[in-house]
Amino acid sequence: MPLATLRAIFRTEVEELLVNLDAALLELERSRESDAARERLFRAGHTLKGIGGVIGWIEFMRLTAALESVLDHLSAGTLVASDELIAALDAGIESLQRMVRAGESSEAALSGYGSALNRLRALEPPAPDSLLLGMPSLYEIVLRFHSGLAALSEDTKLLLDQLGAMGELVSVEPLPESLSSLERAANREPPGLRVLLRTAETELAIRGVCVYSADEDRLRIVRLAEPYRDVSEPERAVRERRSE
Amino acid sequence: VKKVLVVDDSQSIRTQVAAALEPGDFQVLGAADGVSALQWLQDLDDLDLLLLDVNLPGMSGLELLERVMADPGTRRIPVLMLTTAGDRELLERARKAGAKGWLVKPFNSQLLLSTAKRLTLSTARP
Repeated sequence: MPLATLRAIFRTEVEELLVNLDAALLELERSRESDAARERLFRAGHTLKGIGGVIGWIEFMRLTAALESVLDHLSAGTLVASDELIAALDAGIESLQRMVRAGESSEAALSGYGSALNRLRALEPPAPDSLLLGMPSLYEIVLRFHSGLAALSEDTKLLLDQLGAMGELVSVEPLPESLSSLERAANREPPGLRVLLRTAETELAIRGVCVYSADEDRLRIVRLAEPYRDVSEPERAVRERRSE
Repeated sequence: VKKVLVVDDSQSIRTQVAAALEPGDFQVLGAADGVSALQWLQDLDDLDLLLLDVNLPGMSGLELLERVMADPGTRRIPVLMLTTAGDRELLERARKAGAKGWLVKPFNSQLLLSTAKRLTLSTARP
């Protein structure tokens, strides 16, 4: 399928979602306690975030993630429909409309983007994973395969293919024997892997790929190092605001 | 050719899945909600993989998963959840209900293809 077809479908769907978001925001502005408006906003924001990555536009992904986070809090009642919140959502929607109209290769697309992102993030401190969207971290993944896998060697290869598709496999090594004397005595220690992966994906995303191989108690995922950060204007502004 | 049903209310996601998997020898069918998905599941007896959005309109992805797992005719189909939400508890519930894992949207096409290959490994037919 040509990329142009995917882009056209993406653009049409995003434009429809933004119209829905705009209408629901207007409804919320008129009736601040409207559960129906909150629900409409949340659903449209959720779908928008989901498709934000379809064409791999990082700024679009960041802004839709920030928008959805605020709408999530609004839906859960942890943020109220204040004038400030409505104005920030409006700025976010307007910026997304400008982006999708102009297209990712246009400089005009990002006019107002940083300010809209900051206004949304100022309403709610972003979760670390959200703040670092698109910036790789180093993770250690330690797992022992559960016994239900039909073809272990083939499955291991495909697991590594999956992890490799998430970023850069820095190292892969088999696990040494378990320190569990009980398991050693029973001679039933399953084989395992220790993988170092550099990726911009979240720990939850990595876990979603690994749970097929290992149960929760046989899977450990740790972020080892601070990510490399190319601190762009929106993130720097958030940091400065936090340190004030 | 292996058959995949993707259940997601976003046409962009369904198209992205088709664009990623069709070159890898998968046939991709789409449904925008749980009711349409159940219709596909009734009509097909040779589905190799089911991709389910967690947050479907109407019947949720979790409800649909539970129905798939409760039906002896469909419970053999590997199910992968698609999610934008960071709701770990919900995803863990899905896994316990029988899902093989999850992909967090947005996801890249290469990851989707390698995941589909892996989950259909055990459903390979001669």
